[in-house]
Amino acid sequence: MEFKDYYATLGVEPEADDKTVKTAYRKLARQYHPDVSSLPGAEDKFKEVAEAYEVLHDKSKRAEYDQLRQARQQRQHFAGKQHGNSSGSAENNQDFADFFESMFGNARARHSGFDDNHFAQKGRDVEIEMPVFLEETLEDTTKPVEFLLPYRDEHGRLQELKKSLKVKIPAGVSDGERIRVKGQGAPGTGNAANGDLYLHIRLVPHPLFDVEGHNLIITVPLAPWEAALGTKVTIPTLKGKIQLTIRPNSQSGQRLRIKGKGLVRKQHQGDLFAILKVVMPEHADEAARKLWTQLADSVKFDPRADWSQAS
Amino acid sequence: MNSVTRVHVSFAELCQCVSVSEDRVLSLIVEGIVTPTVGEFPDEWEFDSGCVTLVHKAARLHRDLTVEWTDIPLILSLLDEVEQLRSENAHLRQRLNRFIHDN
Repeated sequence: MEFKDYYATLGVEPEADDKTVKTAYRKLARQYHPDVSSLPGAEDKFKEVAEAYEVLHDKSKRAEYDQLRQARQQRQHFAGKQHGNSSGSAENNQDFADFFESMFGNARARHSGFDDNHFAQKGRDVEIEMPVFLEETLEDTTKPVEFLLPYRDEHGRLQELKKSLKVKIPAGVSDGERIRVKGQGAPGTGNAANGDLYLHIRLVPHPLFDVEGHNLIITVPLAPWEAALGTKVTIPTLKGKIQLTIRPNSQSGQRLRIKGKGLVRKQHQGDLFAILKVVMPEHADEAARKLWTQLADSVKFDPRADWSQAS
Repeated sequence: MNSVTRVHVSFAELCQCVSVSEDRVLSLIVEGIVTPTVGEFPDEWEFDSGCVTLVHKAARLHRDLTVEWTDIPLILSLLDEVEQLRSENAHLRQRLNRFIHDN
């Protein structure tokens, strides 16, 4: 563990008073707290900030820290004079780090919002994101999960334990839902129960289907003549393919409901909505141009009729 | 294999697993931030696992961001709204992209 400049972490001068330290902390906490920040790496950054504040806002801890800091500066200064560089102090720094850890290590664990280290307390709950494919929500699915479980070893140091489990994801889970796996969180202390593992369900975006509540939406591209004359289209669902009848004179953006082909829910099965999208061929050859021209000449149609009414 | 169920926790369990006093949790219930899914009286109340996460979050906001307990319901409801809007925005953007071509 290297020496940490807590004053630099909070962006305050070593002479800063309590109020300045608190203000700096609040500002950074607002910026990086994982509950209110969507910045990448916010959680790690917040932990650093919380650690610095834990020491600097406590009078006695800050006094101890200042002493250590000063001693270190003096030693570096001294080492610099002796050897012309400071690399000679690397070993001493390591000793210092251990010493430092032993002084503040446990205190830090008590404060940090992401660690619980009270005596006889239930272990910490752990929450992990669980990506689930739409197809997997149709019936109960078993999925492997791997996660890191932070715990304290006999020296009070924070370690991480890799855990692998198989968990059952019940049919019909929805995006954002949390399911609990009892007792699979961090171990409790002093005979208290283990924490729980929470799986935060995230539905993986599908290349074809969009999710709207318990309904699914699929965009169905149609040629202009298919929309005009009507046709039958084979469309995929999450379970096999079905035939969809497109009526003559269908519009782009029109929604067609296919009952019962949406997502599974406890109360009822959702529907699949086909949204029609009329697309033009990218190129037209001479024959096609001729046909379009005939159409243009013979059909009376003003697609912007609404505009003239509005102006 | 571990079986996963969408469990419900009682009021006492909820307070215990988030280490928050009953009064604090009660105030979150009064404000409608967490709502029991079952039960009329505290002894009968049952909460889904989302409530556990929410009360954890309330405790973190109070401790880490030095937010007063009286302000927590407002902040939680605003955070919830932000999350919902973000998710809705992502969905609508995805759907819009299926219709729009940028040439």
